[in-house]
Amino acid sequence: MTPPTDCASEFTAATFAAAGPMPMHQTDSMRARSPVAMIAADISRLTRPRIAVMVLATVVASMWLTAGRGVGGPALFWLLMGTTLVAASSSIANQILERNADRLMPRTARRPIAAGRLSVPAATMLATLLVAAGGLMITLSSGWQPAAAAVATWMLYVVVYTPMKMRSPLNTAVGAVSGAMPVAIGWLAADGPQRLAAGDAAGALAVAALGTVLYLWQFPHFMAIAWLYRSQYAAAGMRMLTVDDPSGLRAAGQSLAASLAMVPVSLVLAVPSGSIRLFLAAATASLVYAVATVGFAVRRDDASARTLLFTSLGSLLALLTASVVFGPPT
Amino acid sequence: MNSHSFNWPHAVACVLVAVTAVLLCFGALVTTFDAAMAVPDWPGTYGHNMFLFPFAEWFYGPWDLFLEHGHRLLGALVGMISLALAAVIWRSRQSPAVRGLAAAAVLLVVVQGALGGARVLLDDKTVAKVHACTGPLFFAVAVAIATLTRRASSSQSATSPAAVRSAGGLALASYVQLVAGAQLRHLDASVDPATFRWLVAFHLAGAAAVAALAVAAVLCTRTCGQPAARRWSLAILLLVGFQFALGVGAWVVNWGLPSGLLPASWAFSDPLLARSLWGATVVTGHVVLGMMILGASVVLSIAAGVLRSSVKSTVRPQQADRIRERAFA
Repeated sequence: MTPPTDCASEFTAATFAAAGPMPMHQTDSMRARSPVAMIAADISRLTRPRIAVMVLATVVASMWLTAGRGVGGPALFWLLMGTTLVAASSSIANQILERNADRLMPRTARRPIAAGRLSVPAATMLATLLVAAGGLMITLSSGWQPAAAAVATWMLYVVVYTPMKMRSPLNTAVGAVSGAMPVAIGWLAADGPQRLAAGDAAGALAVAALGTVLYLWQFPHFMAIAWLYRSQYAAAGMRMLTVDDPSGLRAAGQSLAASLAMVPVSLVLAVPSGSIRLFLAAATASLVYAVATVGFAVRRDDASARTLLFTSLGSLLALLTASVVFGPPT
Repeated sequence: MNSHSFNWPHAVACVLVAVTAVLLCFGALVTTFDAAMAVPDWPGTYGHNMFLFPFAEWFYGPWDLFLEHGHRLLGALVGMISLALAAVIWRSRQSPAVRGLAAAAVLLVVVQGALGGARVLLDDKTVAKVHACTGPLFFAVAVAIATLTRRASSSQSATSPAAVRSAGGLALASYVQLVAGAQLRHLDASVDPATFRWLVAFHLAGAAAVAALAVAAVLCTRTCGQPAARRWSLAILLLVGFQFALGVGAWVVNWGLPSGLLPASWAFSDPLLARSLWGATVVTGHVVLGMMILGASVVLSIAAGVLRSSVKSTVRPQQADRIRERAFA
């Protein structure tokens, strides 16, 4: 239910790294935080709400492209609540499985399970409860099909992608599937199959494009993160592409291929509405992303990787926003 | 690779560029003559397997059938060459950047084929626009591969950042112009006048940007120490000059002269003029020349240094060993 990247925490860490060492008085004030603030920080580290927000935005955009203004009401609220819980559960399960590696990386060492503030049995129980409750909410509000898609996403992320990070640099290609699967949740929840059977091929085409965009988008995004933290990943024994090939050439090649292929696929988002504005917005967002990727491919340094990381978030946000604002089918 | 052995990747990439250029001409003509629906089924042609459609019926048949079916055959050929290129590049130990571009070419050609089919099956103008934007992008990637696989290219040194920026900016602006042009070429009859004016203004502003960047590229490559970059920048400036003339011509044959510019008796606005021999040549030439400017800008960018460094490693061997040791200890 989460993108394969630990995007929220890594993005924050990248931002801190860009800002330089933290002043002494700030670290002191952090140490002196109240217990409530510390618990809130732990919950945030455990459930990674920024990733959940990105997943929810994807679900909503997918539903919007499928059903247009028919989206909304209590069913949507419970669908999003359920999706949030499943996303949180996948994050906890990921941290249970990676606790030993997390301890070896400064950016993840403070996670509650890795730091020993939350026991593994308690975390396991929490993850199980959350995925069960989330799945139930989605089933009752939107039917079994989106619930099955949510659970399948959870399984792919936790059971396949997470262990694969320690074994093969192909983990990105597999993990990116779980990052794109929230599109299927939205499509199924908005009666996508029935609409397709009734002849609404354009809506299905746009949703397929959104899923493909999300899949391709993750390659440059993740390669930028994998470059910035290549030493930490190496220390933890994670088989990232930038660890297997520290020159970054292979990461650059994969990023280039994905970002260039993303350009036409993102333009397909404009097909159901025929909106020129969405067309041009998608072209702009994807081209800016491709340019940032070329910059990374050429320079392969921390600055270009950080630029690519920021650009990836901005371009995805722009694409999703433009899809929702300009893209509902007429 | 032995320095005396035949450079297969470069040869296949050059063939791909040449065939793609012809394909783009056919594609532009299909739009000019509104021939996209001349064959209403896909992937077959009037019930035949596309490759088994009777030759005489195609070659001596109606003009729009000749264009559309020819476009499909050329598209299939480009797809096969792209696959062959990817295979040759994989076998010949090219740099990962070139491999990435070859993978992008395969992905793009698959997407482009699917878009072509969707354009016919859905009879949708927006799909046609996406199809029109993907073609030049694929061409740019093919040109980049052909340039990067030249043996001489990897031995040249990088040039000034200003030259790299102006050349890269020119390639980007050229592509954006093609995107804007596709909006005007596949304009829906129901589009409101405000949107049309806005698109025209965007396209004209883009033309000004391309011209400014072409001049900047000439100035920046003057002292960069890359004679190839200087030659390409001058050629592009010349092409941009021709493109301006063709742009004015395309406007006139599509939409007539702007009212008030000349006496009413001189002005004409017959939309069918674009389908006359001269009209079609001007309009299609404008599109094709735009794609050639994009291709030349890609060559210039690489000659100026874009992607060149991606062939070489920026990580010292000791540093790489340290990272690997930590990972696999």
